[in-house]
Amino acid sequence: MTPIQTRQKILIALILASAGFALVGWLQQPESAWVGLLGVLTVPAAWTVLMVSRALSDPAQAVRIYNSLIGAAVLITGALGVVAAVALGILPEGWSTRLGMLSSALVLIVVGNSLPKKIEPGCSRTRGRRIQRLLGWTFVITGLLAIPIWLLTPMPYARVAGLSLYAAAIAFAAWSVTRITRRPRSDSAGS
Amino acid sequence: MSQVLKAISDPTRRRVLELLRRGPMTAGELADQFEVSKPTMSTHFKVLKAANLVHAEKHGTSITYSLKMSVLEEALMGLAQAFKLDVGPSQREADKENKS
Repeated sequence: MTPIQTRQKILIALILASAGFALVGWLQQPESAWVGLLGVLTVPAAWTVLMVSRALSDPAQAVRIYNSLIGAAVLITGALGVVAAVALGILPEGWSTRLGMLSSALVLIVVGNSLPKKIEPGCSRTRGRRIQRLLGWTFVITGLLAIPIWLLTPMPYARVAGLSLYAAAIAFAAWSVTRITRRPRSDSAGS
Repeated sequence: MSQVLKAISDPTRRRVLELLRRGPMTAGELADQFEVSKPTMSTHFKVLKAANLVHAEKHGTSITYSLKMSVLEEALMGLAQAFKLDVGPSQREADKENKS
């Protein structure tokens, strides 16, 4: 089986799982069925657009696109799974928020970790790299701090602490990026 | 990941990565910071490139290197630095010199 075929099978399995979770959610809470329907249709719609636009014709590019689609499908399937579990009474009500915020913390860690590795040819090299590293570290540390907050802290405190953490991270990142961009440029290449 | 661990386990390569934290540098500028031969430095650059820790750009006759490390890789390098995990060729060469 080629890497692309493997990814296609994973994607189909995730779409089917999301459809199953949405169906459970719909049966338990018919009033919010459109949210589940929207979730189920998002990835197949994106996949169709990519196939029609021939973006998947280059195998190397296709693997990267399939990885992104799988990432999106995992998030959507996870969210619909939590909604279904809450609707069935398997998970208590507050846990949908907790799991949602935990998954957002994991996304921050994954995105932040890979951010400094991306080479942006259009940026000033020194400045651009500094900003990428700063944002990468900020994302990862914020994500790591958010996990125990959303996992262990009682819900009312978790909301205050979690949102304060995100606000502090945004303020710190904005302040640091402003400081970097105000410094005189030390390079001209690549800008 | 094994290539990354191999790359950061050498003190010379770690020093190269530390220098690149300040900004992109040419191969010549980097080589000037070390008392090792050019072929040895070239090998170090090859190992760093193979581990995808640096980005090399050719400008005329010179090659400019810039840092290309993920947060996890930087954290691993920090740990290797803190615990002196020197198992790369430079350490082996130093050990040989000490024995002879």
